[in-house]
Amino acid sequence: MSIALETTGLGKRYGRQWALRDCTLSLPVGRVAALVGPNGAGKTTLLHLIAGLAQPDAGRVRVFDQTPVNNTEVLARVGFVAQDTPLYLNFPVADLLTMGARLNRRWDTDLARARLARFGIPLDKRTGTLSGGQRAQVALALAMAKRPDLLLLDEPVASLDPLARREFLQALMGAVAEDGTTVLLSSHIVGDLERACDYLIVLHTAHVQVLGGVDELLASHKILVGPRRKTADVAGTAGVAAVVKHSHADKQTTLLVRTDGPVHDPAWTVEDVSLEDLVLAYLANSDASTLPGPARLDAEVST
Amino acid sequence: MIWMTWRQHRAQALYLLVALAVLAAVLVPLGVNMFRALTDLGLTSCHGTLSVDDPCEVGRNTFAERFALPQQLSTLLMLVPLLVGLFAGAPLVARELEQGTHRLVWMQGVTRRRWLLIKIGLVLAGAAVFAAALSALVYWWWTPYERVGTSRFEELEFDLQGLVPVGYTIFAVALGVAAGTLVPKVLPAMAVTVAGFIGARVAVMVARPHFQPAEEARFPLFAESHPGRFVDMWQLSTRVYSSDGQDLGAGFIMCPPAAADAELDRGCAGYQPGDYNLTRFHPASDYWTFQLIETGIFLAAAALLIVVAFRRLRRFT
Repeated sequence: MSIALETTGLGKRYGRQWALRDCTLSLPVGRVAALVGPNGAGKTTLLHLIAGLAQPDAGRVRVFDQTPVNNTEVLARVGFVAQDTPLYLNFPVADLLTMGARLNRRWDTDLARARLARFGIPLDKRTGTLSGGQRAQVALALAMAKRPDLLLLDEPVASLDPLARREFLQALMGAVAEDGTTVLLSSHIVGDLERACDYLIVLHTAHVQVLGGVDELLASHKILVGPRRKTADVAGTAGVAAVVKHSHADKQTTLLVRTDGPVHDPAWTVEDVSLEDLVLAYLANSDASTLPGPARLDAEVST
Repeated sequence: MIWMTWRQHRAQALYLLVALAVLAAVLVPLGVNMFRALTDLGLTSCHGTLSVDDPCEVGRNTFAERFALPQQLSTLLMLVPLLVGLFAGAPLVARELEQGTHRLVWMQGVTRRRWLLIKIGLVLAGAAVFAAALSALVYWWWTPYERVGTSRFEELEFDLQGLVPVGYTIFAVALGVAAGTLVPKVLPAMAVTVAGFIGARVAVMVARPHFQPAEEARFPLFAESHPGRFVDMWQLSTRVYSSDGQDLGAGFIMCPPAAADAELDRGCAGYQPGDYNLTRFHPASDYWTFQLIETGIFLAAAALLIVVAFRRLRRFT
């Protein structure tokens, strides 16, 4: 498995405030990764560092084993849809396509036209007169016409209504599945991403909190429901590696735990967890984290 | 990138062309008229003479009166370089940063340095061609005024023709671009451009008389004949001094030679033979030197501002 992007101890500071700190992660080629976290967690900063728009203040970032800043080779392989999908509002859509064709060595006009036609976006209309959803589709079409190996999207669905959001993500997933494009997609709306993504990065207050494949994360986290008891007593239970979240009702205790084996204690009812619950549990408990250890990261790199 | 630059600035290019066409439509017929008036008023052979009873003086006055308004209005052309800087320079980077489109265009296949290089290069070239064309037009149009004694070397006139308008325009555009990288919003960048441009122009205008040492000429108050009108040169000051070097005030006084006649001419009363007029001036031969020096100053400043813009460009995300 080769690595599309890799960061080591990556940090970015604005003034004295660290927007991103000590960020170490890697994203294997072909994954569709969700970058999740509350507003201000550093998602946009991380994406800008990966896109080469920003320069790191600490650590390093490698995209296809190259430094992205001022690098035309990386630029040619990375598609980026910035937050709020900025477009030249006085350009007709067709002129944006011309712009892409003129400024990129690799450019698939037919692909862009086909995508825009599918969403009924007329080429002669100025982008300023399009709806938010249409603009997002134009921005995505522009990014995809580069035929990028890595596609970065910063809150692409934030401005869309739920229906448009679903359509956008479906269209995105359909498109990237064919080419095996690696995707990194940020959002603070977790529910949308569960179907779309197979890799998860949770950022919280400038730090990486959760990192891993969605299937593995869902498999290694369980909800335990049982009679009321103290959280501390649970720690020793066989199969429970850590308690991420606990809530106590009058007679009942509900725990979200990370497991390191099957939980056989008959006192507990073991249930599967949804991705949204898992993310929210981690975000609510900033002390908890689940990151692949160095050994596992190395194993991923070498295989 | 050339297409992109053209696509983003073609409207401005069109406005400049229209402005140039309108000014030409005004100045060319006016200039033709003025050359004709020179002939009609018999002024073509008057160049440079002045005596107490100058036969050309009437014609000069008629001409000056008839064409005073366009001469005054032409001072407004001083604003043209600033306007080009405001509308072509200031938004060049600032609008992208303000609307976030830099994150679109910098993620295409060209690096932001190349992006800025080509945009600045083409916009500066276009602005310079426009300024040169306008400046040449004004230079030609000014020739009749110069024949009747309003030197193009004088302050204000100097600023409208020759090389300096090109220097001012390139400076204004570079200032606008750099301002956009310092304050990444269009209106504040424009405000900085206005302040910076006016500041620089005033500062250099104050320094201009000292580009070269001024020359001095002394003319006795009482003489058979008096010197010609100081056309072509840049006259800095004329004052009257007594024979022992005492400053008797500003002005240029011409008196007939015989002391007895002084009583006839009341303006000459109170002056002694030996008193003299002192004129400080830059000779006409220095005109292009001054043009080159002033243009050089603004081009150097523009180069510096472009370097600033490129350095600032790295910071934006």
